[in-house]
Amino acid sequence: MIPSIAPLHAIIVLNTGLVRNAVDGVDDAKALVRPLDGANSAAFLFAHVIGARHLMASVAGAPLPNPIDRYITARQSIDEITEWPTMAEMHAAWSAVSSALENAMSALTVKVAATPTAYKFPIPDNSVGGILTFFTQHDSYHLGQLSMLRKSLVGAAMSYVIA
Amino acid sequence: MTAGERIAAELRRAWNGAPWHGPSAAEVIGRVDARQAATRRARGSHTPWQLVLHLTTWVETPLRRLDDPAYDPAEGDNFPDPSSTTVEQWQHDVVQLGATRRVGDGRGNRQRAEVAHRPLDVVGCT
Repeated sequence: MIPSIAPLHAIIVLNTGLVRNAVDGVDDAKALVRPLDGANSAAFLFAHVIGARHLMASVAGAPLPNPIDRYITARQSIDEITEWPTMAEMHAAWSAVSSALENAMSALTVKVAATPTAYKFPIPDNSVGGILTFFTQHDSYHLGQLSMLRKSLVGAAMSYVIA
Repeated sequence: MTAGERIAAELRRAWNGAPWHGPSAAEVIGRVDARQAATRRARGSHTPWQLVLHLTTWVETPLRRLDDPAYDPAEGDNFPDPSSTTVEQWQHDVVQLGATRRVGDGRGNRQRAEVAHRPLDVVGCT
């Protein structure tokens, strides 16, 4: 794997397991609970990081359809979503996109990683590598939110032990 | 830009820049007073003060691992209780976190190229 992608790939692989740990024991009912006024639910955050990983996979050259996209597409906020994917659907989507993304990152070349993209995110570097860096931090940020929600939903901290 | 430079830029933005997710960590911490920092919002959760001390521990840990790859913080350093809950202690602990971040930035800039090629075989528990 090329050096500019290796540390991002390591974080993504770690986060793949940690997100699973963060929602372990969160069932469909608990996933919709919003413990703080105005805060997002675990279901929304999980769906959001799944969507973001699909974008990352696309940037990395391995686009794949998002099976839960129909629940979320065209909705601007959590309050507009009327039908939710089950946690089982989201776990399946998470596994599929994570595997595709990790493989695509492993296969990136120096030339492709440095290729500019048309994406406009609030970062100075919009190359493939820059976009993947931005979304790796985005992934970690929402993992933190999920792990905090977990405490109120299941009463236990997220484990760092990856199954 | 190297991976280290990109990641460092993301971390700087999140700490005291203009991150995509809203206020930076430093801005949020700056709005919290000592009484709020010592308040636990929910049973089993950590106080903001404990989170600040947790951040300090885990900003410092990778710096120490540059010299000693086997370094692990003591169990009690993960989410420590503040030594006191005075205004002065809160200001001290916030300043200490900022200082540790600055040390990390400086050291990271000097050693990033060398460290970037070390194997990722030491993953700590945060």
